[in-house]
Amino acid sequence: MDMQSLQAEIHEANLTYLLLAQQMLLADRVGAMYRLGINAELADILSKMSAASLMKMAQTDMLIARFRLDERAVLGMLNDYSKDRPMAKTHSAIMLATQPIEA
Amino acid sequence: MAQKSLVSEAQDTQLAIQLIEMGARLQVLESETSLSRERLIKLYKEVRGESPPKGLLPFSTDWFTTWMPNIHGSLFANIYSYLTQHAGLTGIHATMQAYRLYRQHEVDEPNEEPVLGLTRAWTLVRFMECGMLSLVPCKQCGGKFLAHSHDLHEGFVCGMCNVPSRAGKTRRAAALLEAA
Repeated sequence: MDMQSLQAEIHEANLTYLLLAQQMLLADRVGAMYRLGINAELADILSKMSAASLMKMAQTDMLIARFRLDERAVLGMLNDYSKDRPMAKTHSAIMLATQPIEA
Repeated sequence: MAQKSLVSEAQDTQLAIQLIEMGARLQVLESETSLSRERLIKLYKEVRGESPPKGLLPFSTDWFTTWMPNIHGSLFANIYSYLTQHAGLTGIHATMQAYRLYRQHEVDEPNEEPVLGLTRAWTLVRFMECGMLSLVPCKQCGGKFLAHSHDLHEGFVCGMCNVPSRAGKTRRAAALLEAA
């Protein structure tokens, strides 16, 4: 993949993420904060941002969203899913809820 | 006696209706609203079309340490502590929102009776507030799980990282497997 198309993909992923986050926050603020793992200030800013500023924010070469799980939790999830354990989904939800929030 | 406010009474009634719809027992309603017992019973009959169940609430903290209830209870407790710490919710509203999110997570079988009912969730919050149960991080996955507060937690491993041999092998699970 050349650099240009990689950048385009990143922009698209950023924009999709920001739009989804805003949509979630507008539909159900409390639930979205829990699912996104963000604090109240960030939730306020995100839900008030205009479409134009979301677009601008997405036009960076860095990804805006990042992994919320540390390596321990990722290993745990891999273990759950590869062994087809019951309630693997619930386990990952618990591990995600435990993670520190994004400021 | 303080003058009864019509607005707060209406709010209490609204809250009670929501709680009854979510499956709360009478004891929950009595402690979360200031409505009289008679009115609550009437309200319960109107919403549910049946008399409220009698008897004590489940009061054992041990129930939350058995395998399946522990996982469900831990999920609810994690959501609850997230909402109270970061979303600024308090009291019964935090419990209700957390319970709603917990039920949304259980979308696989929407018609089945949930493992954790609202009344159980409410007692769980009280157990945590009294310091009888607390969330303990698992040594292996880092997720927080419910455990007795005064147990030894050194090297605690959760029920998901170390699944007990008979876990989840209930009669109902076997029947479901056979039906599939």
